[in-house]
Amino acid sequence: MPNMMMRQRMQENLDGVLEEELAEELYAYLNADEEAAEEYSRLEQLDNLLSRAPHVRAPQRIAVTIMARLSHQLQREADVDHMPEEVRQAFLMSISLVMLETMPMMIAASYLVLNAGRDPKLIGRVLERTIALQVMVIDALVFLLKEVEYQLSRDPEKAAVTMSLIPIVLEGILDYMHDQNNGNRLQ
Amino acid sequence: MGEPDSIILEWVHQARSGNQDAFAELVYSFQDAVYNLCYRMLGERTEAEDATQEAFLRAYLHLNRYDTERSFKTWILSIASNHCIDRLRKRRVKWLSLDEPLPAGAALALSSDEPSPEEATLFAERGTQIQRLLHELAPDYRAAVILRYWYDYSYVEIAETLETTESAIKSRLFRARQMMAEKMRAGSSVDDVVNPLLQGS
Repeated sequence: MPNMMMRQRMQENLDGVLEEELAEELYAYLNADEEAAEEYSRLEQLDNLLSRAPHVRAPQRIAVTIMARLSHQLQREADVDHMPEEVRQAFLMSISLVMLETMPMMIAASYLVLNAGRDPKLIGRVLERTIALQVMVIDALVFLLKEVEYQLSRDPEKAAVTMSLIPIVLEGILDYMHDQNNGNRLQ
Repeated sequence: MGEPDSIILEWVHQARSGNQDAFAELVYSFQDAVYNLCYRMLGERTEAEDATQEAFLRAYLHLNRYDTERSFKTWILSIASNHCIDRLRKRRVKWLSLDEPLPAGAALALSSDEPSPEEATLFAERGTQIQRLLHELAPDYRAAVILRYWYDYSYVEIAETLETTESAIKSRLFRARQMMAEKMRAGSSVDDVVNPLLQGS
């Protein structure tokens, strides 16, 4: 089996960076060691395969798509830049409210799952509830945020109003879950 | 590494001051290089296209960070390779297989002149084999191999593109080639594809 130094030299020779003297030493070594010669031959074959690999051309439409995406992105940034100060403030406030509301929800859900882990009977029920809550929250956020994005370029003030609905919707989901829980307990 | 081309620098300066036509010229000049890198990294045309678009958008947004003493091609390839490495890491997190077969005809879009049907089949088979070998490698290793063989970059240039040291690149190339050679030995079908092509070329 070839030693590490010779393996290194094989690779350097393939890359054309091995000094002439060391290359001669390598060839002498390969002549004397059949296993090393086989390994070098495989590396050479791989090197040939990769060296002749063709370049793949980009689809013709790609430049147009890139420039269209760029224009769209710059337009959106410009829209945000031109947003009135009070709308911007409303946005920031609604983002903070969304974060304030979702963070404790996520922490509470994780806490419930971790604690329920001790009781095999409880874990299934808690997981079911937690997942249902997460799915509802994520669906509501995706829907509302898409709506915000759509409105942003057309009517930024409406977008801010939609954004401010997010905390209300989240609270509604929590109330719904709470009522359901109480209903189940009564039953 | 070659001196930055003056016309490229002119386009960069104009693009920095908001001239989108100048940036379009940069896109036209480097789209093939970036797309080829993304395709070789990701092995899938649609994803490569998306990654190419993303790389150029990032380049535009960070054009002020480009050091005009460096080659623009190296810079844009650096953005593209880092983006592809991130995508591959996320793909791994999503538990998706890297061995997914290439879509039919994926390897047929070659930069050479129109090949005959037989040549096209051989090229396609060779392309598929190359992608399979590349997909055996970790993203960092794959990027080093692609830059070495498709862009003929030296160790130093690869290190600069991937933001690491020359010795790290040597080590990655060493290990990557060992792994791919082992894989070639294990897969006898590779010889059937490689030998006729090497003899015929």
